[in-house]
Amino acid sequence: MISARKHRACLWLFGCLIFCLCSSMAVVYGEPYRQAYPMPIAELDQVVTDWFKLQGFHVDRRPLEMGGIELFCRKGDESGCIVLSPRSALATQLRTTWAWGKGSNVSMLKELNLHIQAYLNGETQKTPPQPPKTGGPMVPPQVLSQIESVVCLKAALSEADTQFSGFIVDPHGLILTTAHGVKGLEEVTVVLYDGRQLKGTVIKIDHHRDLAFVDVDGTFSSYISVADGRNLLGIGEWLFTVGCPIDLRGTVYGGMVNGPPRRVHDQLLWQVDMEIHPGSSGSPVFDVEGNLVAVVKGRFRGTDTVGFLIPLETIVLFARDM
Amino acid sequence: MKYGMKTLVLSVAMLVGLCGGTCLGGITSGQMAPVFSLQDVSGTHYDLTEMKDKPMIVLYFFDAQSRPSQEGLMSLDQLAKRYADADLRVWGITLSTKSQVKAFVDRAHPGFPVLMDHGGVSDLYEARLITPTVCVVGPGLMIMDYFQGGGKTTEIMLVRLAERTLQRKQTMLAKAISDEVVKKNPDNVKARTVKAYAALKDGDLDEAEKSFKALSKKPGKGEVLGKEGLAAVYAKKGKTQKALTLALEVEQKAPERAYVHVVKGDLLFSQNKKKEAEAEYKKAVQKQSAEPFQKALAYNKLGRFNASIGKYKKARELYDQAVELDPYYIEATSNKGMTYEKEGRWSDALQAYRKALTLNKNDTFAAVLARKAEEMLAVQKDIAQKKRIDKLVKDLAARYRKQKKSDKLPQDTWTSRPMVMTFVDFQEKGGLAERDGFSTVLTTELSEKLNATGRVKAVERVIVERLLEELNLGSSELADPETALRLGQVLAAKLIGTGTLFFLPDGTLLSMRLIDTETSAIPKVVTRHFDTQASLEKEIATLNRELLKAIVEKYPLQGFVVQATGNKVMINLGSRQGVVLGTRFEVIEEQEPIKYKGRLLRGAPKAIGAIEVVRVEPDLSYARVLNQDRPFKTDDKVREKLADLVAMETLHGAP
Repeated sequence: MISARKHRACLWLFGCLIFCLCSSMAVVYGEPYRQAYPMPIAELDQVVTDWFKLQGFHVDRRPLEMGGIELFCRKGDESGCIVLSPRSALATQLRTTWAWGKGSNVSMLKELNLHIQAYLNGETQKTPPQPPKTGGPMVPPQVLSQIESVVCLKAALSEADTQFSGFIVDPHGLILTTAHGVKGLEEVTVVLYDGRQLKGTVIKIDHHRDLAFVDVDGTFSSYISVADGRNLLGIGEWLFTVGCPIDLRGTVYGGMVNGPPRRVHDQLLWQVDMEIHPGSSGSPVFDVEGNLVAVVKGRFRGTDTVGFLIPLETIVLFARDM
Repeated sequence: MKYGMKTLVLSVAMLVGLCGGTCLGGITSGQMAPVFSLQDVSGTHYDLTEMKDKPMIVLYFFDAQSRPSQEGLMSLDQLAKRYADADLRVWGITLSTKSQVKAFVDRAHPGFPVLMDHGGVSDLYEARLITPTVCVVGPGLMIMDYFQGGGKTTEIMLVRLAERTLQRKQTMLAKAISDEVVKKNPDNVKARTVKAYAALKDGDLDEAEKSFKALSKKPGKGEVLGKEGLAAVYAKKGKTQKALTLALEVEQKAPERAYVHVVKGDLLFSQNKKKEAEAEYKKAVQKQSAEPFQKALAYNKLGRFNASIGKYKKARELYDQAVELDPYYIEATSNKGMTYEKEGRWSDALQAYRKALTLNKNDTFAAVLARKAEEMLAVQKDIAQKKRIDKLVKDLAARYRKQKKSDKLPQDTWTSRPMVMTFVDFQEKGGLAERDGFSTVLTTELSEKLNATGRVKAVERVIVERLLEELNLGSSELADPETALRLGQVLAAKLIGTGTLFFLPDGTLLSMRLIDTETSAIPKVVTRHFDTQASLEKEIATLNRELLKAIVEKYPLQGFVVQATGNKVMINLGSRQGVVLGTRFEVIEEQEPIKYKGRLLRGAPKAIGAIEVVRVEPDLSYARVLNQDRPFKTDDKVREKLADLVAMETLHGAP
């Protein structure tokens, strides 16, 4: 009768023996398996080790020369060896000498391969921005990341206070907004994303194109470049607007181009199905990639969801006339 | 006689029952569970002291012959079997005889051990007279809940357990337990609330909205609980106005409710109305009526607010109160560690992170923070290391103040120097995250992961941390690109990683840029949305790959052939410069410029072959030739090429 402790010691010795054999690759019954994956060795090590542990294996590891790793996996009478070696900083080769015990090794390695592929694909699917689902719009990070460049503009008029949106278009504090917002004003209060309030001067106004420039002092690291914008939109294309309707900075709405461009007093406008509220005018509009495509002009009277956008082309023409 | 006994038991149960939470007897929540050791029918020992690091164990005292006393136990058993991952541990304890227990085990096939008590343990837990008696034991063997009696008490016990399970973030199990209750009693408003909050915690906003809406249509408590939850859902969905309107409605209807003030506080904070937000958080803490997890959340938020303005001691008190209400509150537990960290009290910080890890050993946040604290402590203890770092930091700080760049450029401008990079803490904007330290976790993890590849050398965190301390630079100063750049130059880092973290209602948005400290160019901008912490580890691994790829593409290693013989080439780059086994290089030849109309036209260098590294030494590497247009010779230029996996597969070139 061997005591449990002795039994464990024997198992360990046996394990070590297998480990040595595994290193020298003296006993190989199974088909050697070789596959390279586009990830650093530490990451593949983690993925492979986690997978084996999930299958109930015990995993021992040993560092090899020049950054390689040997994994010795054991579960009951199944055991085997995986060697990971770097194939540059960004790629790793997985090699196996799975050799002892049951014959289910090939299918097991296939599963491991599928698991790693799924791990890699899981995130590649995530990268291209998905159009928003109905009910809960998913806003692409490329759009959200520009939230800092959006500002709220406020002015006290004789009849009532007015408030609308705009966005910074260059590092020196030039702000684009709609002309109808600043009509009759020389100065407005600009509220930045972080809550700072600055004095803004209206420096250019074009009532025909309904666009205006407001200037504030300071330098700004985040701004939305008009030059990097996109002009032609497709019907049915998803768009996002970031603005400050009802005085809430950084409110994001999603919507869709729902018709061909319309001509109103010789100016082209995009018609969109998008939530637009009082105060949205002057908000930048982005495509799913986060490119600037338009500015919110306003909504169709009496609705909250039919809106009109001033296309990039008009913005460029307006800016060029400076 | 037996019948008479049962009636007595039942009537006592009705009298004493429903004492969930604190009880009239000697057993109260918050006290340590009396420890014991018992055997099951097969003689296996079970010792409660061995469970002290387990998050939760349910001790269920029952009568093996009385079905009513087993009702809740069997529900728990089924759930534990169905949700094995959720780690719902139940021990049945009974005074019944061995043969009665055997009969019960044969009939019910329970997944839990049935421990045979001879009276001692039942007395300790005051469970001799009334069965079932249920004692829920939490982390560190602290009693969290104590219930006596079946029937209605079982229902209350299950709801409480669902709440506890929700606190442990086992949302599936929490939903399942509440479903179990709702099935038997569709009017149980609390169970339905737990279910809706489980959906909210899972990020299933539509489901949560549906459940809370249905709840809000019920009169009385249902309406209040439902609207409270709806306000939270709308806040998460970014429908601020709707959220505020609902919060106001709840305030008017049930002015004593606390939770809507947390929702309002969050909305105000993200609108940069800090003072108003603070007032709301304070109200949330003062008001008494709230579910325990809501109350804990309120304490944590006020704690976070205090920490954000540097009131660390106050913050810690609040975090402690949060954890007292919810022992599974990993956020508050690790937030406490962050306040110590900010004060440089690494040992206390480490203790807090370790405690957080006992709540969930797979928590990336706590694991990374604990690792960092360990490193900082190790440096403090190692005197030689400390001296080296002190000197280095002093030297760097002096250079920074003098605005002096580090070492001069080497003569050989073609050969790459090591790619050194550093991260400075990201500026945090937007809302007040429930959990502190995201920036630290990100920068620490990225530094470690980049370092591990061998291609990039991230500046030791200890040095960056100490230097910032010495120069008294905080994240707001570092938001200034000029400051960050100067810091990078002083640290002799070629690249500096900096950026912003926006805390949005539905997650965190990272906007990060790499800046070249020599040219001020921005070779890479990354934006990433982290929606839950569940996949954080993977997200960081992906980010690491993205950065690494950009670095290899924009700053390929460059060097020279030192020797070339037959199929073997030695190059003047080694592990210190970032060469990793298997790296491929193109051997390139500069083209002779063409003179045309008085101007010299320079073409791109031409690749005349490729090599692959098979052995790496500190300052040199050996490579084998993959292909060549002409034999390679000494002084031929080499340039790193991004790995091509397809080619790699076919070559089978393992070293």
